[in-house]
Amino acid sequence: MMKKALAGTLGAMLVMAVALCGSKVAAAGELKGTAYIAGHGGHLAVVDLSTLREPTEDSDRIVITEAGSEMEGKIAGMDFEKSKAGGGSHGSALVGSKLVVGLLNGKVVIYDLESKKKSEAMDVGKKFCDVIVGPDGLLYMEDMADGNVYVWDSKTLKTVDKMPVGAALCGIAWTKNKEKAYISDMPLGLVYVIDWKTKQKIATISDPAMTFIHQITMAPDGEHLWVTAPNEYGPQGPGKPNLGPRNQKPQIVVIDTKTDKVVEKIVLPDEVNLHDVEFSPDGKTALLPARTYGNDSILALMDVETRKVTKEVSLCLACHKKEGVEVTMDNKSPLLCGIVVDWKK
Amino acid sequence: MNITTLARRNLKRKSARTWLLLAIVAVVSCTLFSATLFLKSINNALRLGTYRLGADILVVPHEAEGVAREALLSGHPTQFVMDRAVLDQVRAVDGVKAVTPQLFIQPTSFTCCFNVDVFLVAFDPDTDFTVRPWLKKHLGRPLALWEVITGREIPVVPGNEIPFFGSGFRVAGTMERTGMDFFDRAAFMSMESAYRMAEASKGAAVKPLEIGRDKISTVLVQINDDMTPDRVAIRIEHDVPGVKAIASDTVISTVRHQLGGLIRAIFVISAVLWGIVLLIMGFAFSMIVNERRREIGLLRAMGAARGQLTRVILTEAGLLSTAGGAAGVVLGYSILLSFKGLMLHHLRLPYLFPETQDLVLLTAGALVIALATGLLSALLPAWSAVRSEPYEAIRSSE
Repeated sequence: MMKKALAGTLGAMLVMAVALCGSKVAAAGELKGTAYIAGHGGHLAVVDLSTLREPTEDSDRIVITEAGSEMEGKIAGMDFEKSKAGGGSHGSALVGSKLVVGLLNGKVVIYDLESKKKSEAMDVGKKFCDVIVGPDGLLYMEDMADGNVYVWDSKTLKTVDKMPVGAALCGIAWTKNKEKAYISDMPLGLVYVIDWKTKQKIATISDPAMTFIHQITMAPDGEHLWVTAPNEYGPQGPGKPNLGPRNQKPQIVVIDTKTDKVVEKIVLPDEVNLHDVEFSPDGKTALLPARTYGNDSILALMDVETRKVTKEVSLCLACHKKEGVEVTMDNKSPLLCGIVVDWKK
Repeated sequence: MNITTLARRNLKRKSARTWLLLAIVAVVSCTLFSATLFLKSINNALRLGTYRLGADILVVPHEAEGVAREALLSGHPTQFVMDRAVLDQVRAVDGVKAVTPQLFIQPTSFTCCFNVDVFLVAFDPDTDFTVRPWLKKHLGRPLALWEVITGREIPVVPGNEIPFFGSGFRVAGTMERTGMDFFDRAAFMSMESAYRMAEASKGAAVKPLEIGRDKISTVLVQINDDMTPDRVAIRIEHDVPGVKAIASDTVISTVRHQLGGLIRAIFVISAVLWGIVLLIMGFAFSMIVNERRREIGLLRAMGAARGQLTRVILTEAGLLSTAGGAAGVVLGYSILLSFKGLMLHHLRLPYLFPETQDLVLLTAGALVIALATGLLSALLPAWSAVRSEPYEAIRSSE
């Protein structure tokens, strides 16, 4: 009798636990929007967040350019193997119904989501990592080759300014009050703090957990900065860029912008080498485009409250298989980078 | 008899071989020296020219970017205009410290009596930073109306009068050579003179000059110290419609980039040639030493020290290679002087021989490399020759 009751109780608890876990995944399924994730292959993967179906059809990708490797040409004064000069997409921003896409050859292409037409590639910088809409409506493009942030006006299609900041820049984010901006420097593993009024560097944040970092995003509270630290490379010695052997797991490093101190490190599974973060409008879910460095890149969904990855969506494999695409660069691994989401209200 | 005299006599004994080796060293030295001097001269002219220009940025009409760059590099006369209003717009851009306008005028070819295409450049005496420093230093007064300052390539002397568009201009002074035709083939006049010349040309010139007082060709910009030219150039292009801002350092870097392949090719060819010469001379000295084994053995038997004999062989090599190097330097210099015009005509680049001090250093460098080549190539044969015992050396050649 006791045994039966205990078994019943345990069974009920198990059902409840499963239901609870299921509700977390279901929460991700409640997302409404379309994600565009830029890739080195020169096209953006398109994901309907309500279904989270992996891209397979023509409509599941936007072709911008031919492929272009990340580790080619010159990055922060360092020479890398030259494989292609085609570009490859790396980050994009949504301006109305247009995607402004920054390329690995420093050019910019505008893709109209309504007419499905793209502009000619426009010369702006050298090698773009991310494109972000700034507080003034201008686009801020972080350059990995010359360490400048290029400020670009999508209305006039003109470069407004270029700010020299670091060596190989990858991401930018602002605090809620727009007093400070944060800019990540990829191979140095640094985050620069910029006084947005004077545009002067006021601090540099470093941490052992950040050896090789990519794009950055401000959490919905406007006070905590999420730094993507997949750490594909490790330290090489004092004064040298971190291009030594990998020495730690991929993680998210959270910085409190009130103190500019690292307050949390979220260690991720080995295959989630994240490159960017996008928060859902309710702040409950974080979308993490990530590289497996195998035969795929993925979109990982994280429950922000529990800091757990609840789902992984394949983004490259099915489409490449169907189309007979053979990846020949970047150690034959399809690499995805920045994400932008058109959230449906 | 000292070691040098002995070495000289040894070289004279086999004059054909000596001349052949000398020629080989001369060819390599000539290649190295002339290539380095040529590239240094281009770099020198670019440096001096951009310094003389005194501007960090040139702002020109967007459609005139190509001809403006061409004019700056090759001094080819050109003419384009934009509204004077651009001057104030550029002045207002953040990061701009000073601005001055210039007017480019292309006169009819072979004006008057000199067979040179003259580039007329009009400047504003109040704000100019291109010609004004020269005037202050050399003329000691501002340029008067109907006066010009000419570049060194124009065959006139101060006091001469030269006509442009039907108006006569008195030559107030001639500038020193810069190597950039933009200066060396230019005649600088004040803006007021240029506008008056245009007005007068309607009745005085066969082909009148149609330039109003509201027109300028370019705005020269100096930037704030905390800015970079390319950054301010971006801001100018954003804030001022219809213009192209050319950072003067990009003109230099463009040329350097164009020459990059040439420099690399010259370096590789020189390195290969140097390696070949080292091997040839090493082989030649091995033969020389082998031929003289008996002689070396006898000298050793008569009490000559190993060090003395090594010095004799090395002195021969040193004399041979230094003479070859000197011949190469002379040959290289002669070739450059003879074919400079032809090369520059094809390359369309500025050119100015370096200062005497740099030339001396370059020559010394070429001679040191030649001497090192000779000593290095003879070191092993010399060492192997003096190492053997006298009796063994005498018997080995029997």
